[in-house]
Amino acid sequence: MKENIRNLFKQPLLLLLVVLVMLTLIIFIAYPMFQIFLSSFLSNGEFDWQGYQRVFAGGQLTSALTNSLVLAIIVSILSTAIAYFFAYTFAYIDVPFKKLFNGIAILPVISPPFVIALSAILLFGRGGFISETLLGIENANIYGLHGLILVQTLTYFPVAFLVLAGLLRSISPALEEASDNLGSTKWQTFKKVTLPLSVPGIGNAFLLVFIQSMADFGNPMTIGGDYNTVAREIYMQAVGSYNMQAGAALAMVLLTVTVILYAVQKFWVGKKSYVTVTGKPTSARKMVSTGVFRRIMIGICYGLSATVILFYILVPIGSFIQLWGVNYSFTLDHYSYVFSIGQKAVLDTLQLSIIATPIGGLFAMILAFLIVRKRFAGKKLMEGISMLSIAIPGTVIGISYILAFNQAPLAITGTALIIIAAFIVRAMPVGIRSGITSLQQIDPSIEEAATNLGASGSKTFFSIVLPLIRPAFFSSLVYTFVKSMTAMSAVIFLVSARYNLITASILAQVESGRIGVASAYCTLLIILMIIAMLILNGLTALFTGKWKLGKDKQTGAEIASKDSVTT
Amino acid sequence: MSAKSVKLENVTKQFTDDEGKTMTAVNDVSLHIEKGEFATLLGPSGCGKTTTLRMIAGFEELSNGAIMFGEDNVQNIPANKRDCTMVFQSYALFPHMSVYDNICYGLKLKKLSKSDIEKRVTPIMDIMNLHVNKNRMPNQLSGGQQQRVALARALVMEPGVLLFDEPLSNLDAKLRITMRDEIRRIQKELGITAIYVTHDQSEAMSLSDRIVVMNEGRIEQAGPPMEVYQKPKTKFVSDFIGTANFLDGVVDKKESDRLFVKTTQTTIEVQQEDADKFDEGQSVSVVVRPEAINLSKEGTEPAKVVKSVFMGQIQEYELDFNGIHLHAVVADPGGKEVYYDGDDVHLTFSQRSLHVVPA
Repeated sequence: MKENIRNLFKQPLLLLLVVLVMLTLIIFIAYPMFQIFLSSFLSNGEFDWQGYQRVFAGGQLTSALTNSLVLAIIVSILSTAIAYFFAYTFAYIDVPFKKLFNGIAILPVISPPFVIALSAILLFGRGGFISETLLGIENANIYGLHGLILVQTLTYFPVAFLVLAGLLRSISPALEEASDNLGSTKWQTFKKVTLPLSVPGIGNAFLLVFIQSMADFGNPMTIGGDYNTVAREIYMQAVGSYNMQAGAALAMVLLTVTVILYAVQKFWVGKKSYVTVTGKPTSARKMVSTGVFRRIMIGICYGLSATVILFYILVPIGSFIQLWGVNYSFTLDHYSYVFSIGQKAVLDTLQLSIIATPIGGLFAMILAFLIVRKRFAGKKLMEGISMLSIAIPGTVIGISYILAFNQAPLAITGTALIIIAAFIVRAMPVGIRSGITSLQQIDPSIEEAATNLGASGSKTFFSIVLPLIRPAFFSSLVYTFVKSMTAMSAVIFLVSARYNLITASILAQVESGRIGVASAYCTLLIILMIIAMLILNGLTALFTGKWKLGKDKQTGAEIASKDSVTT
Repeated sequence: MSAKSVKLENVTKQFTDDEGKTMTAVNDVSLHIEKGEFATLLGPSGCGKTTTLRMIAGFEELSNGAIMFGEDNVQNIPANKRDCTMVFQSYALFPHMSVYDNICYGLKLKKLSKSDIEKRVTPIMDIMNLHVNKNRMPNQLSGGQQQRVALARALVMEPGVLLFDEPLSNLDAKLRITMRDEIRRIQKELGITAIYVTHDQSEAMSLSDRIVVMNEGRIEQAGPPMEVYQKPKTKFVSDFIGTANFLDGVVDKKESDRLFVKTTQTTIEVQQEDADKFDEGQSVSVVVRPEAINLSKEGTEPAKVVKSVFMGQIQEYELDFNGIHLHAVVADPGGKEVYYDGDDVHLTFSQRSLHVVPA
């Protein structure tokens, strides 16, 4: 310890960096969390339990909590089951157009949080295409638990798919061949070998979906109806009724749940999967390429994929239609609204995201570098805080920022800074994780060689480390940009007259029933994101084309989507 | 190129692990390496040799003691400012830079002009035979070529001291010998001070002016290869360098340059320069190299052949010498009498090759 402190003072630049990073983490993560903790016990400056009493007393807040848990359990089970089906097909069966699955898996990462919810309204809502036009049901009601289940399952099963596909791929085919060889039927092999081996992955996928469902804000706001959930209730308490104590208490409960689930996922389920999955596959798995079984599996997968794609393309279509369900004529009105009155939100979002992207990307790489490569006092704390940030739901960040930054010494509410900070904190964990993973694959003596040849610490970082972890750096850039453009849960608390955001505008449009304009916003957002991603991917290819580091070449988006679910 | 001497004075390095336990990796090591000398730190893994090298390079801080380059204490000179370059075990080539860019990385940092860089890089690439591969990326090179680039990258800096951290351990046996000879040739040609870390004794023997044998953080013995092999100071050194049979006994009698060691089997006379360091009655071991054992049909020291293996160049014997297990090799079996399993033989020891170490 003493040596570590001495170390720091010998390298003034490192010291400065550590202090800066640590300060940033404390100000934008630890301090707000502390504030929320404090506020949950304070009413008018006095200590009491009122906040928690209200959460557990059986009223509105309690039902929000139980509702969220019920929803999360149902969605996790459904998503995991569908994902396992997909992943199994992906890993064991010869499917034409396999790339399609990858594309679908990336969709929820890059799309705005409520695209599927909007489509669901277009399809099944009042005047919905299926509910009314096809089935003739008037006043169909998609809002509520059933709508949420549909929408969240379609949104989150790809997350579970990525986890399970990775796991099934890493099960050594030799194990299954051994089982076949010992006389098992295919079904017995599946039941006795494949399924037990995938249990940790199933647990992993279940927990990840559970957390996302619990923390989801966009879908409940859009399609929740009377079915109140935790994230929404926190927002209502904080912004609607200004009951900060109750909001804070509920946020603390949500945070506790997600932190515990993340801990279980990381330290228990995660550990288990290391034991069961053996290193690299001994040989390629022989794919099922004929038979009825294959055709059935493929059929179901295509059907489901088509449904997901339908949900995603319906929004752009809806954006050109006058009044869905009533008047199906073509119009550009919605876009003219977006580009006139709505223009400010678009430009604000773009501007803030473009500022946040390089800062967030670089910050994540520096943090990963410090954690993996450097020895210094306070490293454990730095690791701890940055790990904690993975588990903090957006709404909790949102309310905590209001609490922390409304008064001196850090009165930054309403400024661009607070929104940028929220963007970065929300996207940071993924960048840190991919940075850590790729740094761990790089021989530390490469950096020592640079030092040995006369490079200073910063020179080594910029001329050696950063180029070597470029894929992670770019994926972190992509992820930061995408998450910033589509951020809602955290920043909805922070928007102001000075800075409005697309997502907040979409929400406002949905609330006032103007689905067409909301769809136009969404479409524009998707287009902006595709353009940005193409640019970033082009840059990645340009800078990483010359050499590869072990892994196959992947686009920034692919890496980002994988990094965002795997731990 | 101005070679520098390196002096280690009471160098100690202690590590503290996560549980707070202290472990001494290098323990009070003092060593003086002359200008232009090739010194090898040799020892089993965990003996502190790599840590010592890393302290010289500046990657590890000293817990105690001092390191001098020439007359200058380098204590406060950070790793990137020290006048030494290193060839790493993994080569540590920058994978995103071409061979040429790798080699001139350090020169660019010195802000040399393009033509000056060219002037310095060209002769080094000549020596290392690297011109063809100038524009290749490291992953397009063979192991031997990568090794050359790593060496060129270190040499081009014209360092006062050149450090090697087991640079040949990733090469196949044949290439290892070629590269070893090449390193030695270039080092002599350029007159560089070199400090080389390895656990391979034949590498150490063939390269070094001096071998420094380390064990458990301490120097066991330092000296020219021949001295370390023929006159080991400890049992560890005699066992680690080459193979050795030990005949345990006590000093029966000592004269100015010879010792008489009484073992359970016999009394052995050994020529020993430092005989006066031993006391009569002291427990000692006589080091008998396998090649110092001669076999014959007649004699005074009977033994039995347990196993006899023909190896081409040599015949290997496992012998039972009054209950003691001995390993012997006889060169040129084709020109000599060969014994087989179960044969009775008699032993004589080449007296000049015997050596006594404290038990």
